[in-house]
Amino acid sequence: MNDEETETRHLFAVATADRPAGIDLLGGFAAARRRDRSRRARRGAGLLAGVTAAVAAAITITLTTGSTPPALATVTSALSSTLSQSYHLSQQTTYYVNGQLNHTAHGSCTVEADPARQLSQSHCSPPNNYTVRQVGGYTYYSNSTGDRWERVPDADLHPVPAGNLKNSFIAATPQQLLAELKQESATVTAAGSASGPGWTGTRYAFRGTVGKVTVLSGTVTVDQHGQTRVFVVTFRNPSNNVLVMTQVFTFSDYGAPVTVTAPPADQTSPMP
Amino acid sequence: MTDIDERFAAYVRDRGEHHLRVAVLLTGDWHAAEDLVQASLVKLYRAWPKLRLDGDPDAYLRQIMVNTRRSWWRARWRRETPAGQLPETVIADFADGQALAAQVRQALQVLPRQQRAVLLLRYYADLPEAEVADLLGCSPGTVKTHAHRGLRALREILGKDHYERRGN
Repeated sequence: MNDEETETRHLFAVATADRPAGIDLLGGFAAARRRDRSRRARRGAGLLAGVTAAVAAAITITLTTGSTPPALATVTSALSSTLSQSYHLSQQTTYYVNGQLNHTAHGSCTVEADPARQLSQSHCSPPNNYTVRQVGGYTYYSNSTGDRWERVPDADLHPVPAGNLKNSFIAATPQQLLAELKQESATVTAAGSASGPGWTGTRYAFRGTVGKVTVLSGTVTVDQHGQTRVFVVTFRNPSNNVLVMTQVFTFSDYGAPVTVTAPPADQTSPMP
Repeated sequence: MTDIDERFAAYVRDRGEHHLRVAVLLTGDWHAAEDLVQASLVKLYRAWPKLRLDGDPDAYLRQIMVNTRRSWWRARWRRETPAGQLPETVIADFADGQALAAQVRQALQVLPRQQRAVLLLRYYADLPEAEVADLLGCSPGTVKTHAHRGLRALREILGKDHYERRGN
């Protein structure tokens, strides 16, 4: 070890020696957990209600574009249709940093929802391991083992405001990001045929920007009945490609009955 | 605290202070360091049932802290552009330890964040180059380069006089 390294170690020791009194890591941990749970609950509820909001925002995108009327009309109608009936949904998020998959940030969720009846249930697999149910005017948020729940009145779950996404899209929800596009330009074009189990359809591509640096692009696939089947959106910073996040929403079982029950009362407590 | 795993609580009691000090070098002030450690502990706790059997909580927590700090940095990047030199107000004298502590922390904040992370992981947390490289997602050669440049930059920022005064 050379002198410069030795001196640097000394400086770092000095730089950490003036720890103020009053920092209680363990005591503060409970409060930090409460804040985290509340935030995640809002995000979970946001996913459920947010699918609707995302689709609604996407409609706005199409209406602000200069794309051809047939593509606009088809996509707009399909997305509107999604808002009016029950559906199942799987969501997959992949997140790359410097070209490498970030395992702590990616994940998948499944959702069944009936927007008209304000019923929904979502389950997100590890690392975001949690379940959220919306029923009876409350949203219930589970712990990772599913045997304890905290409930929040739906009325208290204010939508997470859009904004500041020009600086960061790391923690943003799809509806936030798409809402940003209301004020931005985007284009929509037909991009070929597509098919899946029991359906055939057409894929439409869209592209826009969030702020000045983040490019948003993706596809909306519409089946022969005019229903949205797959909604893919990718966010990237083209200047350095450091962050690339892709979310895939796959819709199925339109019109299928959705049943959601509240968790057992003895396992439930109000969220602090 | 009754619903918190006792082994997790013991880990925080045992290792929390070390990570708090790593955090203050990362962030530059104690309040931000406390926030960073708390946020990272919450994430660690989610993985705790799996980690405590076969994982290394220190390595995992360091990774979380670096990633969390990086995400905070990105969220604030427009407001936190490295200035390249210290503001005159922080060029305080070296008369007491607190002034020096603050000055070193602020000098670290002037460095590019990757250099800063390499310096504190190498020379405060005492991690080998390979482990730092793995944690930061770069090559050991890059770590070596960042360390070399970081040491040189720190010396320039804090002033050669300080190093020479200590006989280096």
